[in-house]
Amino acid sequence: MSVPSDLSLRSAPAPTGVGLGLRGSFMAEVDAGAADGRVPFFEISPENHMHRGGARPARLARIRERFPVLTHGLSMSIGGLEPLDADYFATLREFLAPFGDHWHSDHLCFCGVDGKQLHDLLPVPFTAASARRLAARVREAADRLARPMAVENISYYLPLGVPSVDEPEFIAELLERADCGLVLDVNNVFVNATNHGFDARAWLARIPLARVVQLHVAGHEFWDDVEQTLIIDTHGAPVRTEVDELLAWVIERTGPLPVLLERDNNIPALPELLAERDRLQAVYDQALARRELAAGGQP
Amino acid sequence: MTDDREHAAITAFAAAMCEPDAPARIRDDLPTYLAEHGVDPADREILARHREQLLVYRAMVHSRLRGVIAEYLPRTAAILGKPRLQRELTAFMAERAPHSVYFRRVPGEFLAWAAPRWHLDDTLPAHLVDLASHELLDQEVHDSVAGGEAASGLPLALERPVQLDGSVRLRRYAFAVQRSEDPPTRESTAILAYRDRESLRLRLLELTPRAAALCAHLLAGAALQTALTDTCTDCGEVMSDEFLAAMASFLADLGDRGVLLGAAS
Repeated sequence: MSVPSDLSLRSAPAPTGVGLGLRGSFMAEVDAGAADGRVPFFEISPENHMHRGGARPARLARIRERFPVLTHGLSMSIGGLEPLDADYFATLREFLAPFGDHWHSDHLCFCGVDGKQLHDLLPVPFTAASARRLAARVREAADRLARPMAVENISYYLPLGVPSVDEPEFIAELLERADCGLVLDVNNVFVNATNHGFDARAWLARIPLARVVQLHVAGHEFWDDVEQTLIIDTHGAPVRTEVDELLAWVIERTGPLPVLLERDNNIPALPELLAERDRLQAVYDQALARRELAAGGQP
Repeated sequence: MTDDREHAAITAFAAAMCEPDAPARIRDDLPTYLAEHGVDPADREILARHREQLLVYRAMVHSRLRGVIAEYLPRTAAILGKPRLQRELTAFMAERAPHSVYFRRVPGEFLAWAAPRWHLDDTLPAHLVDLASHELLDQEVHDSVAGGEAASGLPLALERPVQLDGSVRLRRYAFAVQRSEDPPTRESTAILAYRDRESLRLRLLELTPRAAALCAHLLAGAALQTALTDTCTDCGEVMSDEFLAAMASFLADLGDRGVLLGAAS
């Protein structure tokens, strides 16, 4: 499995270490310097900033001057049935221009049909036909944005029909056909492994890690605290140690990558979020040290 | 799975998120529901084993949409109460659903759909649409891409339109929903809203009827002379010295606030 040429050529130097998703609730604090020296990069969702005036554009521009910023979309609907939205892509391409040559990523999901936007990450069938169709859309997205694309594995709570391939095969096929990167969300792997009863590490072992350009980690919660039969990727709780272990497992095999701590619900005060970032950075650093040791070098 | 099968599965899934009777039908007989949406028999079988998860998806989608509506329209949502808001959302999803890719625009899309219904609904407070519109005004002005433009540098001239800050909005309400009274007084009200150029915060001005009429004409692009004349007509006034002095004072105040930037270039 080769590293996609576009990504290796155009995204260097990508930030590494554990960054934070930039959210409106603490954007002003970051702008004021509260995260200076504490975060190697931020990630934004362009949809939260596009077509938006007021204080936000200047604030984001100032943050961009001090931190690398990666972009991760929410609304591309790579798995959607309708043609890609030309207006959305034109606006997104213009928005991304100041952010350097880094890849842009979005999710392996659909977001709606018939023009209706359901504003959630909804599952796609795991079939070879679907992998081919989505890969073509990812290529088209990269062309429209004039930059490399990466896709993220989602949490899914049911199989959308009879799978003809399993998820790792689906993802590998799509990555190869689209020649794109993977934003590997290890919390989603954990959530899916728990809900669907598979081994997360065995799953990871079948993913082409050379395609991984970034990792995501987040917290999850039970749908029903009493029954505790289904966990949901809520981004509303601290990252669990089982997810730490998956993060470390991947980093030991890939080497340095940008790792994003996502928090979208029950967002704590920034100092608390930075403390969790620090904890994850230690997990990341230890994994890199083990990788060095295994390679025969000094930790 | 063929492309047709994929299409049917995705379409049926989306229908389960939007159709008002979907939860009951999913609970009662999911295979039949899926069959009616063209889902392949083999896919129906595996989906039927995940009935609860399909309902979880629907609950998540609706909860998220209800949440953003309550976030941007908090007083409106509190008046409706969660059960009524959910019923409204269920009807919205069935009849219209969000179409913007921007999540923050869901409350505006919802209100645009709901307002004509709420106006006709005697079970709801008469001021509800005004209140919701006013709550949404905050977001509209804050997020306006226009605003903060450089002044043309041209002095006001009777024969020219004026340049107003791009964030300016004029709203007319039947109730004084901008005040803190609960419930608000029934009182014909005009509000000029704009984003302060320094603090970037929302500012509101309650306007007199003639100030509101003048603003409406100026926002529509009328030349200053025409706007003044039409304001007199609208308000049943003659263009007296008192009227002109009052309007000059109003325009000067708008200038001081950075709302009126001079004559349009």
